[in-house]
Amino acid sequence: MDFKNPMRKFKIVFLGEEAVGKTSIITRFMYDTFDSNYQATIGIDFLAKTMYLDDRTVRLQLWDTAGQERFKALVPAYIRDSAIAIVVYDITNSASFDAVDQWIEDVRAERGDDVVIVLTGNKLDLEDRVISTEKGESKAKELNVIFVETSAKSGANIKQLFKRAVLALPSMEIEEEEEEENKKEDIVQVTPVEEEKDQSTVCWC
Amino acid sequence: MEHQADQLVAIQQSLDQFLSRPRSRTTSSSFIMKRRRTRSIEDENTRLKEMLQQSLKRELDGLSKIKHLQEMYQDLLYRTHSNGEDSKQYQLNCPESPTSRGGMSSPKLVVVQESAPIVNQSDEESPGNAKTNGGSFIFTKQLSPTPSLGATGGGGSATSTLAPIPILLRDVKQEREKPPTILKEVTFAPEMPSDDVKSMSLDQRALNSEFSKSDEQIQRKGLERSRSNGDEKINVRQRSGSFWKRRPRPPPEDSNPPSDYVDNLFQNFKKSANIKPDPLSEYLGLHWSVFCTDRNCKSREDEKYRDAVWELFQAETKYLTKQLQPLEQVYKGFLEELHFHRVLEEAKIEKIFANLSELCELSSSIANDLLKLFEGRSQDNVALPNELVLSFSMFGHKFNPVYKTFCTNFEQQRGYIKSLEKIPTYHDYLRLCRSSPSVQRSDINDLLIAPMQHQCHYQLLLDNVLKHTTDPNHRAVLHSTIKAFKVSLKELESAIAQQRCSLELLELSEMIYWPPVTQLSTESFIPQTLMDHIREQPSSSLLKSSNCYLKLQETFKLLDSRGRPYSDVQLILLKDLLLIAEIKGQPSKKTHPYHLLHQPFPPNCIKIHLPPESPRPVITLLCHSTLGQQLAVLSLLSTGNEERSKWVNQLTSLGAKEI
Repeated sequence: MDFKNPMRKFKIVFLGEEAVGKTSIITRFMYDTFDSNYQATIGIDFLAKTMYLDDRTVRLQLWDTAGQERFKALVPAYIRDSAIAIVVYDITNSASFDAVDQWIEDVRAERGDDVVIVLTGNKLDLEDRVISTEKGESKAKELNVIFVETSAKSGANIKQLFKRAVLALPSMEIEEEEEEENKKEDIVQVTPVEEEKDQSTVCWC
Repeated sequence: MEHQADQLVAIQQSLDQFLSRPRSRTTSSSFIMKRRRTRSIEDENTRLKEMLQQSLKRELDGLSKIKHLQEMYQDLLYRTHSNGEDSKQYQLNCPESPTSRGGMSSPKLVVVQESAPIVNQSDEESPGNAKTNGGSFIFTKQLSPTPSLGATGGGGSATSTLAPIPILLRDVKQEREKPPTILKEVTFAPEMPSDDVKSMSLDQRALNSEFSKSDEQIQRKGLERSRSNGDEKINVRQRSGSFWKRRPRPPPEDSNPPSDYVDNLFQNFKKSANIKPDPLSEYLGLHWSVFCTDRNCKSREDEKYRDAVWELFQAETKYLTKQLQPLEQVYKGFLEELHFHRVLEEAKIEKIFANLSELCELSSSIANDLLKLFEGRSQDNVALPNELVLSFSMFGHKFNPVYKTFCTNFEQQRGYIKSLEKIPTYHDYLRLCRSSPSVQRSDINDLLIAPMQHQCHYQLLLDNVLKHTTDPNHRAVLHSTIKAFKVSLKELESAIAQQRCSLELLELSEMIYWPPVTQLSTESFIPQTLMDHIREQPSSSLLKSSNCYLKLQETFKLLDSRGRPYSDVQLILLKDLLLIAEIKGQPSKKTHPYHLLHQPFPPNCIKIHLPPESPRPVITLLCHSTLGQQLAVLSLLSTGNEERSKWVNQLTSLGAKEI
């Protein structure tokens, strides 16, 4: 799919029960905002963002599955090409935590081990936590996935979430080298996208 | 004169008729028709001459007509002579297989520099066709002026001249053995050998001037000469190749043209295709208040309500202009263009894009309806809920089938679209489409999935509208609309799930080997007359029935009499069947690696026993017939306790009993 792409592109799919904050995490990451007053119902369909990490640059394409939680048969279509799956639960809602197993199983069924899964406990800013960090951690260990706790509202750990996911991508260096070669061959398509990229750039150095 | 005028009108009509109908005969390179001898040969010659002139003039008129040039000629001949007797034979010969001519290393090239060799070449090809009683017409046309793209190595030819397009029109005399004599010959031979393939672009002005020149040439040189000279030879040379470059047609056998060639096609496509943003895209990012003179709402809730409706509009517009339209205009449009040039014909448009244009229309009408709720409204009647619901209920019945068709098609053709990725030209196609500014680098698969995603958004967006609606009547209407959406989504979901299951089952059924009864009872005498009936198990079609779907599938170890695992078996649990198969060989699709050990048992004919003393996750199945006779007992070692209990639960839920 990434044939002759100047930059390595990865799809990230966001999974989890309703109202756990999938869209909020994406909005926070994309625009660095959180408006508890007015929150767009659908933040983004699939927007891409370029991420600069130490020595590498990746382009992330974020797929929100908001609205599809109850239509499970529709979800595999998104998981199919995803390199990263972020499974979100709400730390104040134990039902959303219980559903995590099923979501991760769905991802594994579709992608096997060929995917980075991040278990994300969201809404860290809320007081009434029912799922402890330890519980989340042990679940992540049991399912052999990465674990992060975040708050889309305060912005805590959001960048870490993405950073850890990207760094966990396998054999990135090798593929990047290939991409470099392709870049030299292929000059045509770089220009129009560069400007668009700049708007959504976060520099973490 | 009057007679001529009539003929012209007739030709005009047949041309128009042809232009308005779908191109269907484009691929036929040579066909032979018989006709009635109703006119003298001279008459025919004049007629054809005029036809040529006429169509030449027309083709020079504009680009759209150029596209149909070849078909026009073919059709003209076909039409004017198809009501025929067996006395005369017409042949329309478009040599598209240069390999038969020998010497040409590039399969795309038909390089014919002079008119004379063409005659010879055609002679070589056509004597068989000329050997007919009665007069015979041979209309030879070569329209493959593809520039050589040797640099990229496709054909490997270093020739960089443009192939001239000779149009030979000859009347073959009636003699059988005698080679056909040339009556007329019209040859377009672009003189300039163009090395600069990149400059294949079409410059309208240059084109026009070239056209007028060539037009003149036809009239001045060609026709006058044809009148004065007895041999009636028209030789028209067209200076610039640009006209012919517009429609390079590689021969069909060249299925993998070099990237440069596809690149050039894309450049031309970008110039000629009318890709411009939809007027609706101007509203993207605006706020609804731009439509109101008075920005103050009656209440905060009212404002939120309008926000919600506006988001609905924004979402629809964004989806239409950023996803559907790029998909339709760029991806689909360019593929159509490629198909026109006989490139990438393996990628079937209808399989990939299904009813995309219907989706575009639907979405466009929704967006426009929503816009009307704001545009030109005074403060009091902005986005009234009843109107909103009305605009949705209007398309409610249209909505479901359109989306369902598209989404199920995508699910079904997934494998097909994936399989296209093996084709290098398809990659070129994707890369070029992605580079188009309006596509914003989206992959085709991302865009194809958009309708499914968008469909799920309606309920969220409408939910949000409902949240800020106060009037109970409006709430009720909105509520039922949302409910309808959810029902339609549920329907789609089950359709997709079913489709996925049937695909799975199809795959599975190809892997299972059902031993025929002849293998099961080898000792029996089987009358030859029965053999045809028992060669195959009727059960092989069991899996294809629509109402059975896959529940579980897993590999177990079969235990021997001492309780040692000795072979791998595959347990496949369907809704109403349990299949137990031995794994033989590598599971690849071609062979049937799963050999059924026993006949399939319905789950309610199975008793499960879990040996309590065993530390291992062993499951023992006792299978019996519907009459209660015990037929088989199998002890299977599962990979873990969890897997075992999953199987036990599934089996019992389907009617198996635990003992």
